[in-house]
Amino acid sequence: MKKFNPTISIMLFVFICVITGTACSHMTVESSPHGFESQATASASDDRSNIGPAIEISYDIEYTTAEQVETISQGVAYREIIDTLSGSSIESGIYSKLYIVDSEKLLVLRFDDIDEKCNLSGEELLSTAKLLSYPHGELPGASDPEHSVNYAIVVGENTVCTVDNGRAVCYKILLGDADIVFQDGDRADRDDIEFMSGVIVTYDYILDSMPRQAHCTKVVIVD
Amino acid sequence: MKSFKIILAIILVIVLGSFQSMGAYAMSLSSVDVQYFDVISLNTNTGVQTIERYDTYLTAAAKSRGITEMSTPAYYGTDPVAFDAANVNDGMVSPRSIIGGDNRIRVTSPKAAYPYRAICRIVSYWDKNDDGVIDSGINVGTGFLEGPSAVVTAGHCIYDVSINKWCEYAIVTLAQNGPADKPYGTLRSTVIHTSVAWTESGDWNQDWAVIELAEDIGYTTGWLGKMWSAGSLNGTAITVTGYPNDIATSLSDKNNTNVYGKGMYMWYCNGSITNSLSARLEYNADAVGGQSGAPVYKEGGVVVAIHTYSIGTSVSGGTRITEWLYNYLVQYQQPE
Repeated sequence: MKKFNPTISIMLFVFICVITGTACSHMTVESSPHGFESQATASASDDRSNIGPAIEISYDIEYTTAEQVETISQGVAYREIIDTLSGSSIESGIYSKLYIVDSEKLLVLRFDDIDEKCNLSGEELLSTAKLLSYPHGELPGASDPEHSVNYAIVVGENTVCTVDNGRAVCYKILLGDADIVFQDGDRADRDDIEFMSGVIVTYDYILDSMPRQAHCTKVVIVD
Repeated sequence: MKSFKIILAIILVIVLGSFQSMGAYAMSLSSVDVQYFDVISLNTNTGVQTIERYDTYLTAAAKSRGITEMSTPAYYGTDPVAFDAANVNDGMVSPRSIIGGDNRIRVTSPKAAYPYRAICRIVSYWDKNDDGVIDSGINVGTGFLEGPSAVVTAGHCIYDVSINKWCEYAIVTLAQNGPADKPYGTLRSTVIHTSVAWTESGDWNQDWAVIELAEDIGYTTGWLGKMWSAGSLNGTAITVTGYPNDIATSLSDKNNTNVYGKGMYMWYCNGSITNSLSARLEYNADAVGGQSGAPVYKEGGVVVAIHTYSIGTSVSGGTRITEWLYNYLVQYQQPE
């Protein structure tokens, strides 16, 4: 009877261990999340840690009167206008300020720099203000139990101002798959929703960040 | 030669046996209903984005054993523990959502008690016109710690689906109590994660995000627990705590436009779950703008949802701690 070659025996032993060890590792249950990283996308690999914080702004819309607006002279800096109408100074870093005039009209001040001079007089500014209520009687669709319907004024990109529970508020509109039409029913698109246009916004829910974001199902461009 | 054949046979048996075991393992994995989901991440220091795929094996394996609920406990932290007994929901149902009366209650000293000190105000900063300058417009929400350095919030607080854009970074302020009272300072995001379903289609069933911080502040403040449940949670008493933007230190602030500090004070509201959907929960606790990302938690500081939306004046709702979210979030909890 031949004896086993020790060398072969050792190699065999090692081989068996390797096979068995591999099998065991495949049987280990991994319960922690794992993932594979796909390639990086859309990278902008400059170090962004130097971008400092901006100054916060308030989303409160302030109230004023036509009389106060009329006191503004042409050529006055927006900073001074806001001081006059708000009764207080504001931080820099704001490029838009909203006022409700006589509890019914929306006045929007827009500027690239708060120290920029306004070319309009108080009376001319007043003429740019727009009624916050729907101008044609009863608001269509207001009784829809599944949705909220508001008349609003466009004050910025995807941002509208409306009256909610008796208070003027701003929120973003998420257009997604929303149906966008003119009041006569003709199709419209996002580019037709212009600054200071009046719109009827229908939405099913609103996201509670600040500013709030309304998930629109329909937008009717009124004027 | 005969010995050699015997040895060969043994090897063959071993090899075949291991493949059989692997096959059995594969079969057992496929017999549990594992789902896969993608998470997209932004490094807010470098701007680099990555996508990773995760699975629901943890909860799927539990379900295969007949388990339909899993939870991780809250951790109270090393700061003096004064679990706010008054915050334990006694089951009182608030049938209103700033719906009739306003049932919100102010947390006068968030740092002094758990879970409040593990809840934060979040401000995200943007560069929407890509000019390299941070815009003046910010987004404000709420968040909460789910581990030493992981803050959970709503996806829409950090990714704007209307313009398909990430924020540049977010600043987290734990237990903020007014404009100047920031007991743990401010912490800046390092990496932000959210679901691809949110970024690609604004799916409100996956409206969540995790903001990672450079500091393990959670060991000091504690963090909230979480629970996944396969069944209905209707009737469960819950609390929603966050930073509502319509008030500062008094409910009457709603009616005053010149109150400074609105949205910088912590408030909570008790209620109960009224509707259990597969990926969302709805409840009757008051919540308004600024509270997106707020924890919706039951007794013991165990989160069941992340507040994200309101419907009309009668319903508040949020992203449920689903299987996907539970499986994803467990990686962030590492108690000492």
